[in-house]
Amino acid sequence: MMSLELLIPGERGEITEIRHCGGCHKHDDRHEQKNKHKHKSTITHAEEIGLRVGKRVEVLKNDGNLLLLLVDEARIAIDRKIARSIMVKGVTA
Amino acid sequence: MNNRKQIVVAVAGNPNAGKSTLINAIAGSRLHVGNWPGVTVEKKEAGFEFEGHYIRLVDLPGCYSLSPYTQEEIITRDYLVQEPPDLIVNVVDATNLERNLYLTVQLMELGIPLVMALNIYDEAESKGLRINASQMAETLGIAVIPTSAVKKSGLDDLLRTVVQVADSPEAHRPKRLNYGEDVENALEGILDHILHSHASLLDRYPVRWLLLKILEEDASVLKAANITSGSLPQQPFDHLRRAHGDDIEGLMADARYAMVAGLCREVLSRPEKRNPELTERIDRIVLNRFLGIPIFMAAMWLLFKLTFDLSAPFGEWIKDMTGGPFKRWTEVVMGTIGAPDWTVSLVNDGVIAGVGSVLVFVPVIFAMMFFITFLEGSGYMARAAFVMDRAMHAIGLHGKSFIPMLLGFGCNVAGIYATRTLENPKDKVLTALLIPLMSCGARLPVYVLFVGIFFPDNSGTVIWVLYILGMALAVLMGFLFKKTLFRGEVPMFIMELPPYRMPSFVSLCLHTWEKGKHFLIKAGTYIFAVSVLVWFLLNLPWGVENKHESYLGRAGSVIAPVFKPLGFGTWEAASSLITGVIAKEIVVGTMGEIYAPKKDDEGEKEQPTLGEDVKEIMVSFSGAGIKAVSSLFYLPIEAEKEEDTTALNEAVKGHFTPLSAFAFMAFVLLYMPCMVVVAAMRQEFGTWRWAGMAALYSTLLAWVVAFLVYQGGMLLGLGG
Repeated sequence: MMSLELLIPGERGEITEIRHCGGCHKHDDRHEQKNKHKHKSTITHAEEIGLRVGKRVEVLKNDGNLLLLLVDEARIAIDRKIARSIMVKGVTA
Repeated sequence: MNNRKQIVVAVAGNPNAGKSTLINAIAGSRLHVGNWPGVTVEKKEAGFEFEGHYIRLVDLPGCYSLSPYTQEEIITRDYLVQEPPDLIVNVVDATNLERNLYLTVQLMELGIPLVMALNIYDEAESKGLRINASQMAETLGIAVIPTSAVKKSGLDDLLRTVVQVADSPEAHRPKRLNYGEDVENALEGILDHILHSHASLLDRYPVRWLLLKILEEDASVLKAANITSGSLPQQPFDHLRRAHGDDIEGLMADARYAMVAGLCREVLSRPEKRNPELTERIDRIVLNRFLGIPIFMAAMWLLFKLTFDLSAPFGEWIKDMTGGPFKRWTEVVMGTIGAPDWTVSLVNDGVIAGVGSVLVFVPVIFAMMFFITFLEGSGYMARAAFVMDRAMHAIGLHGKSFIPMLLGFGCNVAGIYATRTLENPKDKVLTALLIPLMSCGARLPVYVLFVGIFFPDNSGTVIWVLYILGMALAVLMGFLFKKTLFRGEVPMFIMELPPYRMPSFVSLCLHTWEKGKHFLIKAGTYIFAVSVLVWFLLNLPWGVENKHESYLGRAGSVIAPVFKPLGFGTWEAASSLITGVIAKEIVVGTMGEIYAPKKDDEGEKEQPTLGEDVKEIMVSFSGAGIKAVSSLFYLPIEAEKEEDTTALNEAVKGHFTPLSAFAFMAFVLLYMPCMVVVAAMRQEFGTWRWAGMAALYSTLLAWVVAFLVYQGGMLLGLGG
């Protein structure tokens, strides 16, 4: 198991875990829900857009601050920090 | 039978699922655009007849889920819960089924009859994706209609199904999805409690949905239903928490994802081997870390070139029309009805000069909106965000903030509203504060006027420099804001890059019209009113001989000294800048009025007849078209060379030098954003704080920059 960040373009992986990272905890703390200015956490957004445990992703681009992933048929760009907190296991072919 | 039933259809779907294309294809010109109450998200509606039924379509904002986090999600779910439509059409992107179905599952929880438009179906097929639509329909208990909005196929099928479902809604309730034994038990426990203590809620909300939201402890639903989480029986929750952990909201999300994944395994088959598609091949070049930014810059340059080259001849044409035949006609008409002289002057020197000098820029603005819409529709806009991400980090933002800023080039107000796509409130404010530095379409008239007079040989380049100046200052200010007001981590970037698509010409025109018409409305209302006001301010006190002595002239004289060190300390410039706060293009309108020729200057010219006038209008219009096309084969960007000597041009020439003209343009670029922008910021952030801050800092910045330009230029000996 390794972080998605480490895959090179053309490699595929299956997401096994989405870890909490600084500022992107999975679902906001329940007490915060009363806060009017609450916003969607980064991880919730990542899940809605298709990055979920069990999904297979292919890395299309991995240089610079952003990674470009192929998830199903969608191209998704994510920050390197988010990629670091997504664990994958390598998938061959 | 005689009173036909109205069918209310809500259209919901993910962003990029082709929802608005579908609605445009169905409704076309019958579309009516308004706003959702209390917010500035667009609300599109259309009503039309279909096979004896009256259908009313309500377009819901694009969203990925029905969680209560973003404005789009809240609008969608509030509408569906509070004013349940007869049915929902869920537009689903067939090329991206799994992600789209997550919203579908949540829509089904509402218990409202649902019809799925399996859109972009043709593309999915050509990609080798096989979707078993009938099996999906059966599993979910909803009708599934393959459509292609772009090719307009399947649309009649869809409408026919809509009518059928509306006729017998009970037979078309979506299936109740089973969330597993533990969740279902918990839901039953909650139902018992509701039946006992809050039975009236069952009339107000879809039952199943209400139970799910209570289980997820959805704050907004609990509040609206007047339930405190303490009053709920703890047993169902405790049981779930013991078995699955504390995060019930997360558990439910996982359950929905699992359901969607399972469904996809059954109905969707993907091709074994994927060929790198066109999008991927384009992306390899466009997103290349070395080529990306140069390509982006080239795209921007092309955008400006096309905009100016195509529109300039038409702008000239409007100018000739308003300055020539229109004025003559009003004089003739008003002369025959015996209108007093001052009213003729009000119409000619006030309304026609004021509104006319702004109308001249309608072609430029529409052309720019057209190309920006093309960039959005083709999918390149999202790539621009990707490419610019690194650069944006320097100013404490990520690449996604780049899109609102880019839209700001069309109109700052559009940019401010586009900050909504950013998740983080801090990003929104910082982005909005920088948007006024993006040179919007309304500032163009000022540049085009001055550049035409003072820099006729480098017009394109000078305008380009002004745009770059705005961007460079945005970088600088962003950096300063980041170090002072907005310290902390740069937020994170997640964004879908849609596949490249060739937007259809019709939908491009529709969207261009949507965006550009605000400018026309402004010209017809706002600028019209201001032109009249300016005319009065220039002609009062009654009978004032010299415009300098008028109210506006006096006000201009008072503040003119402030602009002295900037090289344009004249009352004329100062007065135009005062009125320019209302809308920047009014700077030109006001100058047009101030420098309007006195009646007796014109001399006796041969007055053409009406027939000659009309003929001339036609001939010169087609001439403009030919010019526009031929200019495309010409590489340098050129705003029309000014060879004619209108009174306005002559007067401006006499009052400015090239250096002070440039300082003036820089000032107009930077000083206080127009009132509409300030109002939009107030509305978006619910406080005057940021709007006031934007107005203040930009005006100071404008003064400093214009000062540096002018005084620096003088030192370098460029003053002549």
